[in-house]
Amino acid sequence: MVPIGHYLVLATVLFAIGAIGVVSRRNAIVAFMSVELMLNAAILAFVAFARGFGDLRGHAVAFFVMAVAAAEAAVGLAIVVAVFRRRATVNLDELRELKG
Amino acid sequence: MQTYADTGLYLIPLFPLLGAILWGLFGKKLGRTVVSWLAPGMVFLAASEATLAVLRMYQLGSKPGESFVDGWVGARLEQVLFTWINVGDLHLDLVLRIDPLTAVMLMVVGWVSFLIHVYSVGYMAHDEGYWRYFSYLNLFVFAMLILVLGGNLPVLFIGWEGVGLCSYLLIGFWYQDQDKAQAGLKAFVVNRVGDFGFLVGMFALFGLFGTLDFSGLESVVQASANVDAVIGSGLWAGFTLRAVVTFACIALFVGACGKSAQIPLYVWLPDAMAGPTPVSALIHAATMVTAGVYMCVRLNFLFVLSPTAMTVVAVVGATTAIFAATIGLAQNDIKKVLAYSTVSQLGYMFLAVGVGAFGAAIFHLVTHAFFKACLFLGSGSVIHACSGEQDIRQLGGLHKKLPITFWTMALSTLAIMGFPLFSGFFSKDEILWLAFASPRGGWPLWLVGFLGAGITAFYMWRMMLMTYTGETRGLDEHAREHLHESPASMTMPLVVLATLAVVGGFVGMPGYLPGLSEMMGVPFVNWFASWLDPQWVTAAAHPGAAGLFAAEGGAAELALTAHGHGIEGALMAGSIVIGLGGALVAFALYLRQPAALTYQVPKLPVIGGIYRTLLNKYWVDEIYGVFPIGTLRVFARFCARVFDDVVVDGLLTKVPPFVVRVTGSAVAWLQNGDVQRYVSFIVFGLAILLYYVMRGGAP
Repeated sequence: MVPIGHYLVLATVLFAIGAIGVVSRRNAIVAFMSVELMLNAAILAFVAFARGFGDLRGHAVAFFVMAVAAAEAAVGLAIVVAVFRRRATVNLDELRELKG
Repeated sequence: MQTYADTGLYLIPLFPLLGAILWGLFGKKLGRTVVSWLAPGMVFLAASEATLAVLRMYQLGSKPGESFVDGWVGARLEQVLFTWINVGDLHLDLVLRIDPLTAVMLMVVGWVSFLIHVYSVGYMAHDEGYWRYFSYLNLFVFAMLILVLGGNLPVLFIGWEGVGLCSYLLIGFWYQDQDKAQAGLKAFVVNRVGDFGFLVGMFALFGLFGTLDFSGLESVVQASANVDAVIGSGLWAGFTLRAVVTFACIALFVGACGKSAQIPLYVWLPDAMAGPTPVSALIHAATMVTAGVYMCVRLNFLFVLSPTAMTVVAVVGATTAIFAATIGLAQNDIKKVLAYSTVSQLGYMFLAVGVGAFGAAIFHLVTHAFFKACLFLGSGSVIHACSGEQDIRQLGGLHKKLPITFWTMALSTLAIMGFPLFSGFFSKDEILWLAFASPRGGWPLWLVGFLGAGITAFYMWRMMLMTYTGETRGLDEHAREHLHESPASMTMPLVVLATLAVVGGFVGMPGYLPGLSEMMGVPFVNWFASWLDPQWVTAAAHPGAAGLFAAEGGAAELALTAHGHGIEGALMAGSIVIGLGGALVAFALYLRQPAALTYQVPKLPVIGGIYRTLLNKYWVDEIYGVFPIGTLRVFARFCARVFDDVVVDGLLTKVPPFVVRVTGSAVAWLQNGDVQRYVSFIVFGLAILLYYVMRGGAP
């Protein structure tokens, strides 16, 4: 059996790639995909722990996160489409209205 | 007296509370018919529950197979609803308790409230805000029931403030009228002064005894063997227990002065007549204003420890009794006469408390609730019939048009003047007798009360004669045609209350009635005193008060051994004579030409001056207008012009904007709208947090 640490290292690497992607990529769709990557890193950690400790609750949370990720994808992509219709761009550098 | 747990007490205040919420939220949607039936219905349920609870208590507190007087040992019913406050030394439960004293109050509050609710259905039939009215009135009954059921001072205080709030809401019920709204405000503010005293007294008691529960206080007081020993430690170190109790009792009495309209805080009650008349009957005559008397009687075991506090109470009571009665002589507003009469009668109750005649105070409270509620409701019926006219100079000749109102009011007037065998006769006479003969009383106190009784008879008959005899003087054509007896919902309560005003005194007949006692061959049984007897602590159980007297029973016995039946009979005869004398003077002056005097008297040389003084209520409102109100105004103006304009507006409105501007421009670059920058802040912060967590704790 692969030790739990290996999974966790993979999850950490995935999460880091996702976080860097969200912060650095200009295209909203790519940033969005990076968020999914972070979520999946979290799922991987859950499943790894669940398997390591023989506790089914981790699996349950994994399914739960998947469902949330699906819902989030639906809403998020709808927002991206709406923004694109309005502004003809999904470049995050050009969307700077989120300030007081 | 033993305490029994009971599970049904919460039902008593529940129904009126439910009613208040329902009418307040949905009253307009439910409609007039529903509210008119169910608002009195809620009070009926509460009064029935209270009656059942009192019966339960009676069964537990009386030995089976013996007569009432021999077998009655008293009982307490208690229900702890929940722990309310539990902080440090302070443990307070929301506890409801019924003992003989509460039972009396429950019966009066419950059933008189019910009658006045029924009356209100007729009286408020044409009012737009009937649902608001009944919501407030139900809320009042709830608060009043909490007040009498509360098993400790803070629960009593909830009710105390609750009835104050309802009083304010109902005095200013017609709030579009500026004067009426002002009257409500005046009542509220004057009561705040009293409530301050109440709170101080409560804190003092807690600091001294560490409990505020009535049973707890009573047992602690009885356990303190030497009340004149100096307290060694704690908040009150250096004082004797008696001194602290004196302070607390006087502070609490200040609270009672506010609620029960005694000198110097009585000024709000006459103005409170701005409210609808059933409100004046219920809140400002029968129930709420007696809360102060109830509170002092409830704490009788404290008051008997302090001769000083007792004397203060007695003197204030007697002074108020005669002071308000003299003002009542010259008032021309039918409700103002009754208002000053109420202040005066409350003075009698405090006189009784002050001489240790606690039972007599409660007895007078009960009979007063009957006859004064009847008088107020009768005056409401008159006002209702006369299209809102309240000036007795404008009324007159109404006895044929309003026969039921006239007869019920006449019977109640006989009761209040102390006509023999009417309820007020027994109660007022017991007060006067004990004011004379109790070890804490004396002839000056008696004399003041005695003269007050004569004045009462005079001004009450003056009011009655000016309202009902002679020709109708003021009303215009339209109003005269409109004159009519009130509907049954209004006359029925009048009849019931008048009946009670006539026969209600027989429950508390004195043991000795000259003539009658000899004729029957046995002394009468004073059921009322027997009922309350278990309430009072005995001298044996109360070493601190030994030597004075322990309680009502003790006071009556000591009075009797000192003076004997002969003097009791003579005083009774004196009361009858002065009452009848006052009434006869009124008949002689007012029967022929009811209103002429009020126009002639002011022109007379000396009497005219006295009359104007009385008419203007000794200018007390004007004096209060200068001090403390005037001085407060000056202070308020100083605060507004100097402190607010210069300090607050100058300093506080200029410095903070400057600080905000500088710091704002310093940190504004952080928020530039770039979402990715925000995310990087989050990630960065999370990384720092994670670092510390992994390191195991803060640096």
